[in-house]
Amino acid sequence: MSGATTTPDEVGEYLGAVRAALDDLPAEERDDLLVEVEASIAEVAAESDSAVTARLGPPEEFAAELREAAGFRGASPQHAEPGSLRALTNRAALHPALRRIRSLANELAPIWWVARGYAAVGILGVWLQTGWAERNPFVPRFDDSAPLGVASVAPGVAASVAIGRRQLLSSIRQRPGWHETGSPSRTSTRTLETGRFCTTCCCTTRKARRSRWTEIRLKIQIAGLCEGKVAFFF
Amino acid sequence: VSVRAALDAAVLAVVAESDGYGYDVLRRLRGAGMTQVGDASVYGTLRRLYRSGALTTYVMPSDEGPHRRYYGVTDRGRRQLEEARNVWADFSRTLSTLLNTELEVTA
Repeated sequence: MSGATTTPDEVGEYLGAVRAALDDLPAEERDDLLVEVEASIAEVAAESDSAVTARLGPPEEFAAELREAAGFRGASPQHAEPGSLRALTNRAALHPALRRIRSLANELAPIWWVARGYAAVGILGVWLQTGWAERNPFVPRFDDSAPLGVASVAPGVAASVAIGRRQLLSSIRQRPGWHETGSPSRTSTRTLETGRFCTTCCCTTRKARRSRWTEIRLKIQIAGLCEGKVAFFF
Repeated sequence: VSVRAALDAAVLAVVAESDGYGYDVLRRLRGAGMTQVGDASVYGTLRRLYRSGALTTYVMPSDEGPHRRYYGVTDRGRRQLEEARNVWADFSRTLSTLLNTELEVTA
C-alpha cells in the first residue's frame, strides 16, 4: 500500500467537512446527499489505491458543486474563501480538541437538565417572592412550606429532563444513517464501525450484534455519546 | 439549453437504459465520453431528479459492501427525457445550420 491510500479517518474528515459546508440545507436532504457521497467514496476507495480525497478536490468545493447540482441555490456563506471566518469555523469544528469538548458537553447534558429544572423552580419561587426555606437555603419555599418546595422541585426537574431527552432523541433521528424503523441500517453500522460519523466521540464501536442493548448503544454512539455511559437516557 | 438541462438529460438517459446506483451512473457517464463531469454534479443531479419525481429509488444488497441505492426512471422521468430529446435535436439542428452558414460565408 502506498502513502496515497485513503484511510477511514481521511474519508471521515472529508465527509465531515462536506457535511459542515451543507449545514444550512434541510437535514433530510443533506443526509441523503451525504449517504450518496459516502457510498460512492467507498466504491472509489475499493477500486483504486490513490487517495479518494485528492480525486474529489477540496471538500468545500465538492460541497458547493453538490449543492448547485442538487438545486439548492443561495450558495451560502459556506462558499467562503479558504482562510475566511466561515472556512475557519468549519475546520475548527473538526478539530479533535473541540470534538472532545462537544463529547464532554453531551455527556454532562443530563446534569444541565437537572440544574435547569431546579433553577426554573427556584426562579419561579423568587418571582413569586416566596423565597427560600429558612433552614435550608437550597430548597425553594412555596406558601411558607419547605416540603411543598421540595415537592415542586421534583416535577420541575422531571419536566426539564423530559425536554432534554426529547431534544436529544430528535437530534439523533436527524443524523445520517438513522432510520425511522428504529434499527440502524447496515450502512450506518458500517459507518459506525469505522467511526465516520461519530464526530463527537472518540470511542470505537464494537461489532454490532442484533440485541436490544447493541441497538441502544448504537443510538448512543450515533448521538455522539460514548460507550454506554449514559445508557439511562434510553 | 443550459449545462444543467444537458446533465439532467444525460443522467436520465443513462438511468433509463438500465437502473444504476450513484457511482455506477457516474462511471457510465464517463464511459460515454462525459469525462469532465464532476462527481458531485452527478450525485446532486440524481438527488434533485429524485426529488422532482423523475427518478425512483430502491435499495439492493451488494456482495461487496453496504447496500446500494439504485435509481430508476419514473413515467415522469421518461416524459422529461423525451422532451429533452426534442429540445436537444432542435437546438443542435439550429446550431448546425448557423455554424454551417457562417462557415460558408467566411469560406
